[in-house]
Order: sequence, then C-alpha cells, then structure tokens
Amino acid sequence: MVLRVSVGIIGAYSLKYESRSQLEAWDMIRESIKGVLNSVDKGIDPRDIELVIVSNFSDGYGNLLHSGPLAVDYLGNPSAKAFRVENACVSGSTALYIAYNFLKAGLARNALIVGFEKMSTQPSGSAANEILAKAAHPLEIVAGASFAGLYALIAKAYMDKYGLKEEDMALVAVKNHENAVRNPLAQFRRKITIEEVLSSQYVAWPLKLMDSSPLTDGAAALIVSAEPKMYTDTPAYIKGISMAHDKPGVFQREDMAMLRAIKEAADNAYRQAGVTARNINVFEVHDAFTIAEIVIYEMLGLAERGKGASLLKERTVWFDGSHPVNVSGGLKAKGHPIGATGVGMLAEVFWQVRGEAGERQVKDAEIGLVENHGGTGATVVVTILSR
Amino acid sequence: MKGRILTYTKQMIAIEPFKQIYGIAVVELENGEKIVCRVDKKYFSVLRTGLTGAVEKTWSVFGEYYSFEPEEKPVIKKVALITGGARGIGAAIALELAEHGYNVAIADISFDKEAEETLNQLKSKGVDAIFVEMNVTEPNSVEKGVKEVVNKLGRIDVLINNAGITRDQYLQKIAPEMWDLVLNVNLKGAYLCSRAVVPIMIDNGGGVIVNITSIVGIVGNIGQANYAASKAGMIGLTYTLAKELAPYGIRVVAVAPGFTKTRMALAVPPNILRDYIRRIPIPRLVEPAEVAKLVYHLIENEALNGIVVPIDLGTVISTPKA
Repeated sequence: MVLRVSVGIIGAYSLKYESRSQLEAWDMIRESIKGVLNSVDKGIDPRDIELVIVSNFSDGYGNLLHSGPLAVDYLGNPSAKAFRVENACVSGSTALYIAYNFLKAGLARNALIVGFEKMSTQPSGSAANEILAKAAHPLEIVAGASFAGLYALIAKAYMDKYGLKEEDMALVAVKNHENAVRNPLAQFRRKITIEEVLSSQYVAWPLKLMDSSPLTDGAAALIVSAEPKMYTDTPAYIKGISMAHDKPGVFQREDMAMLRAIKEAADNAYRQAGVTARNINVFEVHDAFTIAEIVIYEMLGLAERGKGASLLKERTVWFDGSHPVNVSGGLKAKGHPIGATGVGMLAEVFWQVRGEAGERQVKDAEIGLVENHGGTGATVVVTILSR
Repeated sequence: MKGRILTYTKQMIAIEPFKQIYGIAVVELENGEKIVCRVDKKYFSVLRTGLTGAVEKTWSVFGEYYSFEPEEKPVIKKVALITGGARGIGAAIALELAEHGYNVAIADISFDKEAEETLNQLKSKGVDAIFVEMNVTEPNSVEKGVKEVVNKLGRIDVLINNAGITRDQYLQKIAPEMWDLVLNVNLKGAYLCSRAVVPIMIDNGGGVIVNITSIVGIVGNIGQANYAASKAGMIGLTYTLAKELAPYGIRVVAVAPGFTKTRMALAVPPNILRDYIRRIPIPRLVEPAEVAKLVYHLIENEALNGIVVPIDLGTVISTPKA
C-alpha cells in the first residue's frame, strides 16, 4: 500500500549571510536549530523530530566533521537519528530529498535539516577555491580548473553558439544585487551598475569577479513534516522534488552550452506537481555565476534555447516581473555558503508562499520553485513548494 | 596527439595549489574523444575556438594533466620599461635587451643629451625604442608614463626599477630632505612603478620585475645611510612582491651591484673609492654591461624568483673588511 502522505515544510530559519561570521561553525548550527524550532507556528516538541540531516560541503570550511550527533544534542532529542550529507553545492536540497523520501516511506514523522558552511576559515580565496575545485571531474581537477574556469567554459561555448555578450551576463548580477537590497539576510545589500560589473577584474575570462558568487559564512535550517497541519495552518507543501545527474565534467557533455540535468529534474518536478514554468510565481535558482542563471531560465522552460538573456531585458525575471527569479539576491548577492545554500533557498520560497518575505515579498506568491545544483550542474535537485 | 579547441577560458586568478594563471580548454582529439587541457599563459593572445594544436600528457607534482600547445604561435614583441634608462646601468640594460629583440622604453626625469644618445643607440639595434619623461616619485607622472608606453609599444613585459640617486653624508649631516629625496626616488619610485605596471602584466599573462638594488643595501656603507636604507628597502620589496605576484605569473628579482663604472660611483672621492676597491677580491669596478647581462639572464630564466643576486667582484664575502 502506498501511503498518501503530504509532506510539507513547517518551519524555516536562516542566519544573516556574512563574509566573515563571528560565530564558530558549531555555534551557527546551534543558533539555526534554536531559530527553526521557534519558527514553527504551533510549536514542536523536539522529541517529535526523529531524523536530523546536516548539510555541509567541507570540513575545510568550519573545521568540523561528524556534525550529526552534535545537531542531535543541540536539538535535544537523544533518540533522533542523524547524519551529514555532502553533494557539493546541492547538499542542502539533497538533504531535503532524503528527508522527503524518509517521510514519504513512513520512516519518520518529522525531520530537521541544518545546512552550514564557514568558508572564511580558509586563509585565502585561492585556498578556498582549491576545496571547491575538488567537486569537478578528475581531469578538470588535475588540469587546475577553478569553478569560475569551468563555468567560463560553459559561458564561452554559449557565447559562441548564441552570440551572448558580457553585458547580458552582467544584468544577472545587477538584478540580483538590486533584489538583495530588500533582503536583511543577504551578504551584499548594495546596488551595482552594469559598468561596475563590466569593469571588475576577470576571474576566468569571460567571467569577472562581479559575475561570481562570493565566499560566504552562513547557516539555515528547515523542519519538514509528514503531518504538517499538526504544526501550522500554512505549511509549504512539497509538490514535486526530483534529482538528476549530468556527466561530471563539462568537457564530457554533448552540448556544453546547456545544463541538461536541470531540464530533466525540472520536467520531473513539474510533472509531479502538475504545473509548468508559467504557473510558478517565484523562483530561487543556482546563480553561482551569472551565465548559470541565463542557462537555467532555458532549462526550466522560462525561455527558449539561446534566448535566456531576453528575459532580463524584458524584465520578466526582475522583482516586478511576471516570473521573478532570485528575489532573495541569489547566490550572487545573498551569498553562497555551500552547505547552507540549498536550505536557504528553500527557506526563502517557504517564506514567499506563506507571504512572510517582508519587503521582498512577491505579491500573491502561491507556488515557488527551487533549482539547486552541484558541480557544474552534474547533480541537480528541483523542488516545487506550494501553499 | 592533435586536437582542436571547442571552448576555453583564461583563468586570471590562481588557485591553490597551482598558484599560477593559465588557460583551460576543452579539446576534441582527432579520434573524436574530448578532454580538458591546460594552456600556458604565453598563448593567451592566440587562443580562440577552433584553434588546433598538439596535446601532450604532462607530469606535474600535483598529478598528470593534458597540456595543449597551439600550432599557431603568438607573435609577441616583448617590451621592457627601464626607469633611469638614459644613462649608466639603466642604459646598459636597455641596450642588452634591445640586443635580444626587446622593444624598450627608457624613462627618465628629462630628455637630455645622454638620453638622446642612448635612444639613438637603441634604435640602431632595429627595435622600437622610446623615451618617456617620468618622475618616479610622482604617482601621476608614473601612471602617465606607463600609459604612454602601453599606447606606443602595446604592452609591458619587463619592468626594471633602476632609477636611483645618492645624497651621501654621515648621519648627523643627512638633512631630512636628503633622506626623503633618496628614499623617494629609489624606494617609493620602485613601489609606484611596480604598482602601475602590474595590472598590465596581469592582463598580458605575466612578466618580470627586476629591482636594481646595491650591495650597500646588504652590507651597509659608511656615509650612505639614506642610500643603504633605500636599497635594503628594495630587497624587502623584492621578497614581498615575489610572493604576492607569483600567482599572476609575475616574477620579481633583484640584482645588487657593487661599485659600478657609472657617474654615480665616479662621484665618490677618488681616495675613498680606491681605498674601497683595493679591499675587495677582484679590485676593479663592475662594468654596466656585466650588470646588464645578469639582468637579462634573470629575466629569461623562469626558475628565478625572489632572489637578490650580488654582482660585486666578491665585495659581500670580503665584508666586514671592505
């Protein structure tokens, strides 16, 4: 017998994302758990939470391993079962993917998800980038490709194929920075101009510093329930959640100007939820580099192949557009604390569909989508949340 | 193996542990297999989609990787900027580099007879040579001069921080103005010129900065507290920039000449100079051309970085007697 369980998010919390947090990684975990427990409308007894999943990319970012039992201790339910997941930048959505399936299968009633990363524990940007670079294909790692470099390969392939310009990509950064001004949780609450983006230093030509998401310290948490109405009258139901993989190396892909697995995961999630891109009111997507967001529009079905940038020019994806993308500021301006990133994106859409997003609230948002990916899109999880 | 570039990037910020800039390219081999390659920064100017070249497995301490060498080699005329290049050691270096095919810009405080002669000699080597008026103590003048070099010669690959002066006196007689002047020209000048040139070198994919310091900066010399301090400062600058700029493919080295046959040395009273020279193992003056040969070697030998090479006929080893 298949259990007809409606799994929903019942609580969410996020620390403000920062370039350098004064908190240690373990303090960030503790604060997030405290915050998310307090966020549940009708309250929740920690003993009702049987599963704890910690999302974290590297012990090089926070000097902490074996964080599961620590989270259980902070939660205050010694009989909960816990573990850490690592799936590069999609660790957070992977944690939800696992929790969702545990709950669907009846293996737990409620699950706590905590994501954290304290990237400032590395002594320099180039050292921090060495850790990130390990999430690529082995041939890319030994060649010395940085993540900016790998996305630059995609950007150049896309530019060759569709005639995209650097100023088109710059618009993504301008939009997301403008959005972050409205988000008190964002790392960079500062408007920027196209000129600022274009005059910033090349990190990996054709991508510049202002095309790139930053290194961030941050943590976020969610509580997911198989009996959501017990804890809140307004849960955000998980209407669709799907994981897909692409070849790990950019060089291995038939068409290097696309991120194929995003399309696969999105199509599955749409099918589960019975919606199309048109029906979605708010999108949080993985703009690790500006080029990614443009390709994501196309993979999600918001634009035709090669036409992604037109959504920026037509303002479709801006805060006041019909399909706003990354109203939180996105990875670019809200920040990208790897293990927390996906959790924070889900928290944002949870707040949006509940109408709790304050100044950045998208009017009448009922249904939202989170596209979170790891590597250069080698692992993708797309989640659709709705009131 | 032969291959063709499908897409590529120039990685302008180095990551650990490689600490250098280079290109990354997706290359399709003749058998249709696709691989990812590293491309040396010296090929940045010819990189394009569709470029063909040779692919080779390359050993490195961090693992074996594929490297790509384009069939089409870039035609680059390297450019050297030499401060204080009108005369003395600076002029000798300019000539040595021109001899080896470098286009050269000699910068000096004013265009005088000597500058004109040096410029003519350089032009006779068949290279592009220009004179740039520059006061190395003034940030605006340095920025303007560097821009002029790039406008006229297209790039800067080598910077020789050579401009230097002396105002010798015993400590009690060194007026603050004498101290400031020597430190400003010799040390601040090297800092300002390096600061102005480095972004250009980064865009080129690398370069070399050579600081002309002095053995006086290593062993000291009576009556030269200001000069010795400035030259010791250049040594610290060399070590620091060598670490800081290595990721960008910029090497920073220094030479420390002993007394060299230039106007500066000949300005020393003859009795003091003779007394000094007779105490060193090879009792003569260093020739400017000898310094220039060493500088050329330091520029060309890519394993050299963050070193200060004395060229002094044994002065350093004869200290403290000298």
